[in-house]
Amino acid sequence: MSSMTFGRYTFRETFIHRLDARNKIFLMIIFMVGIFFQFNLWSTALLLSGFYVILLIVFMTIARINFLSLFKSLGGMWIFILLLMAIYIFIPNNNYYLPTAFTIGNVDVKWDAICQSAYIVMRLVLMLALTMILTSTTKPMDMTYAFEWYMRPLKPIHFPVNEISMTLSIALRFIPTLLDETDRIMKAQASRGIDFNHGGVFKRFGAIIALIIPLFVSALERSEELANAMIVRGYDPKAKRSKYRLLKFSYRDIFAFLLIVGLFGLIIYLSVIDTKLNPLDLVEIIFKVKGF
Amino acid sequence: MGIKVNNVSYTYQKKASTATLALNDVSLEIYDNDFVALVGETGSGKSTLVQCFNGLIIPDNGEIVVDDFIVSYKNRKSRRLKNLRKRVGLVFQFPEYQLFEETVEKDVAFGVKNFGLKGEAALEKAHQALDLVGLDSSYYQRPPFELSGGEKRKVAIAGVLVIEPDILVFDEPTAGLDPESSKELMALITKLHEQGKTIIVVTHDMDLVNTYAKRVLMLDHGKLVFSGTPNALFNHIQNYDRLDVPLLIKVAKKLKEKGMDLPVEGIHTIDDLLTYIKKWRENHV
Repeated sequence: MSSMTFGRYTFRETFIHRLDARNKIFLMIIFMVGIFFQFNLWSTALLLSGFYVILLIVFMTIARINFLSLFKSLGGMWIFILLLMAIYIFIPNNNYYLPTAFTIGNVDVKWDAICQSAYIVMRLVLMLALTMILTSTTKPMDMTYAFEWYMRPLKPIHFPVNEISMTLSIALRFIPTLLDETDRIMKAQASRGIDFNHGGVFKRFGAIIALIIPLFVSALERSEELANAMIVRGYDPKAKRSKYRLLKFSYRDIFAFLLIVGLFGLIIYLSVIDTKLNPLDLVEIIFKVKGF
Repeated sequence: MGIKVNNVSYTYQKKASTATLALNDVSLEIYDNDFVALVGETGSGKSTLVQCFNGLIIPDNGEIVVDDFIVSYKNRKSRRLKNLRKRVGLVFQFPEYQLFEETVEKDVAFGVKNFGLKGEAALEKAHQALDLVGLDSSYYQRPPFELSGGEKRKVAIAGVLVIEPDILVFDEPTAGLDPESSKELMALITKLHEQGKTIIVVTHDMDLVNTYAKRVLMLDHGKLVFSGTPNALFNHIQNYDRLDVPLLIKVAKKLKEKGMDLPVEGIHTIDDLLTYIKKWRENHV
């Protein structure tokens, strides 16, 4: 199970580790929206992408995250990336600005298609890096507390905020336990002659069943035991609960907040400028909305 | 068939800061048709060692020789490891968690099916194995999840026995069983031993060691610290306060202190003790 290390929380004392979880989640979402902004001009898009890459490298260096683990996690995404490339390259589109790169059979492969797919892949990698920064610098428990905090406005409409955050934190708590359990069952079944690493698709599917069913059975039994144990100790989802660990917003958070939000403003500004260079779009829309 | 362990070391989580040396240069030998108890505290490396025996864990250093199989870091990717598992059967702690098929006979047959036997022949083997653990034909069609804890464990053990390994390793076989089921299970293990199988039992239970084992191996922090007969171990562990001398031995010692003449070293079962007490009474009435 050592392969499942992507984005796992590692204890370090860095600037990013010390940020408030609520702040980190908010800033991550803002940053992601920024990454997925569309630009009309390639020049702006490229410039900004380069900027994002540098910024994320800086962040990852500050948080002392291993770059290798990021690229390792891409290993499983190769098929997806290839599929994306194929779709972009072979599905015809009229908006080509750039010349043909090469031809396969009677299909012209445009530079546009290649750039477009590379751009998407790059944005996916950026997004992955971003989530990795979040999950490997934030304690899972702090993350659930942050989610709970964000869901608080839903309380007046009887949304089960407490229950959901309790469920979330229990689920997170049991991930390592379930991984151990998986390991144990895999070994037990391997002793009965299953080979999880060799053999054809059909055989491997059978092997997975021999793993999944016992895993579910034990997880269900465990959850029932846990529920009983909680009831016995008087757990009441409706009761008001206090917290041992409090989330704190500090000067660091203000700094990070200003940095990322400022950056986001810049991106919006750039996108406006960018559209202005194509005279018809945004200006016209704004004026139409205002009733001119 | 025996097992030779030569200078085996193994570390968990090698790269992490929490790296722990689970086995530290362990060398030992288990002979053909041996009945070995492997004892030691929690975390002493017992389970790690037995998982090396059938290649589930590959040692970082050293090698394990079983017949013509060699488990070592050099051959870690060998496809023959699967065939090794046909020779060395490993019954995990709480094996009932490995059940998954919809009927008992299918679950037991699973093991032989993995080694190439098909259909009726596999079921036939399964029935033999179920017979061995004492479950009759009324159980064949029942779903394993409906059985009681003790019965589930029997099914799971049958699921390993069905492969007909020459060496059988039981990791804490009696954990969580009531005394009656424990006794039944140990009787089964003894029967397998009498049929010529090599038995290795990982346990905490010194009474069990006293009654059944021919030899004992003790691990402490990944090192082999004792190898010898159970009686020698009980003399040895007087120095260890965390391991307990078996109850029977304690009783025999107390009786001897009070002046009863009986050999402390020859008492392996309650019946042994009773025989000696009866004999003493006959001589003293």
